[in-house]
Amino acid sequence: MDPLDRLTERLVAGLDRQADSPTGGCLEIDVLGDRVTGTLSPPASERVNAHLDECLACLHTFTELRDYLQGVAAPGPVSPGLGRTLDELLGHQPRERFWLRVADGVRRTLVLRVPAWTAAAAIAGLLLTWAAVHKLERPNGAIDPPSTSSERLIPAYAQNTRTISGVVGSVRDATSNGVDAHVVSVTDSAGATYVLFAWGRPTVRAGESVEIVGILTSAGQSAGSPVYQGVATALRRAR
Amino acid sequence: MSADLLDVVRRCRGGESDAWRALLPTFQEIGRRALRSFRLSRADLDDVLGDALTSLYAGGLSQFRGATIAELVAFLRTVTRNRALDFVKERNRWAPSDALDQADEGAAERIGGPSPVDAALGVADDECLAFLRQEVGKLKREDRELYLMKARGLKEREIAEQTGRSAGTVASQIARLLERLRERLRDRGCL
Repeated sequence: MDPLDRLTERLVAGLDRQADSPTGGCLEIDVLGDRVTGTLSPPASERVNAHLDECLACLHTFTELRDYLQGVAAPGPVSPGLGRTLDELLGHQPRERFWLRVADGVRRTLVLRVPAWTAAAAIAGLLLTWAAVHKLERPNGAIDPPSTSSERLIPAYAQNTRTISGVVGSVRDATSNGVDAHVVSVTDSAGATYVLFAWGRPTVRAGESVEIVGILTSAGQSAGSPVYQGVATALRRAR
Repeated sequence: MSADLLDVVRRCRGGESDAWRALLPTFQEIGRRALRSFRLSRADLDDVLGDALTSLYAGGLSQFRGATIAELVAFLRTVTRNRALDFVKERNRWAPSDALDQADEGAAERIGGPSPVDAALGVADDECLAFLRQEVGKLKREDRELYLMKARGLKEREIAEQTGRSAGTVASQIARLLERLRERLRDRGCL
């Protein structure tokens, strides 16, 4: 990169940071907005101009705001992709991806502020509670014998851990507050999908065959195939 | 315009579908302009804006406490840019493992901190940055605005629209002022 471009990029990044946390001497954003729209009184406008002559951070915010307000005054046509996203959000084109997007949005907005170990503990707690409730609901507290059907996993209350072999579909980051964690989606040979939370940085990639030891529970169906969720306690590439 | 848009936001928070449709073009316009400096592909840009829209829809918009259009613009700008920063961070984190391995090897070589040469270059770069800021500060206000707009990735046509000058005039003014800055940086030993 051209050295001037590189320095300019750093300079603007610094000004952006200043705009995000303005110092005491900087002008309020709505004062700059009024200056852009010309709704300040002449003396106030003069004061703002004098400040803009001296303060590079405020001048940066001012030129940025002028740019945005011009866009707001004459917005262009909405891109088809963004239009589809809104349709999904509004429920006009319900698709599986919609829920993933909402969950992801909520996760990014809120959950990222919760440490990964707290999230993992909460998931483990829910699984154990669920298992206990199901056990208590049975007359003698007995648990079902392991299912022999190849289409269905043994639920968590019957067998806490299970080993799965399959192919990784995706690996998504679930890092929070500096604690590394990720979510792995795996599909086995029967077509069942497993969505598993795992600690640490990923050691597998999409497309790789893996073996996973995990605590699982059934989560429902997707496109006719069962989907399970849980926590991976060990995860390795298949040999 | 101001009252209308703020009313649209109020209705969005009330869950009105029509209001979200009315807000979308404005949101897209602010988002695109906020993300200029990220130099994202069109598909990535749509993804980032889609994520930002989803987070607003999932409750993010209710965090807006402002009362003016400028505050709304600043709010949407921040939401979009934060989403883009997450996106870039995530993309770098999930870079192919070969690249990561190479990066790790590089990191291993750097164990014990940066080499004296790297450290000296870093200090020199910081000094050049401070010098550039000082030189930009010395420009005429008009040139300073041009420099900042160009630095944010505005095209000359867009700068011309916003400053009321012809695109040709803007292009030659920018070329002149960049050359002047280059010269000053060269004299200082930064280029």
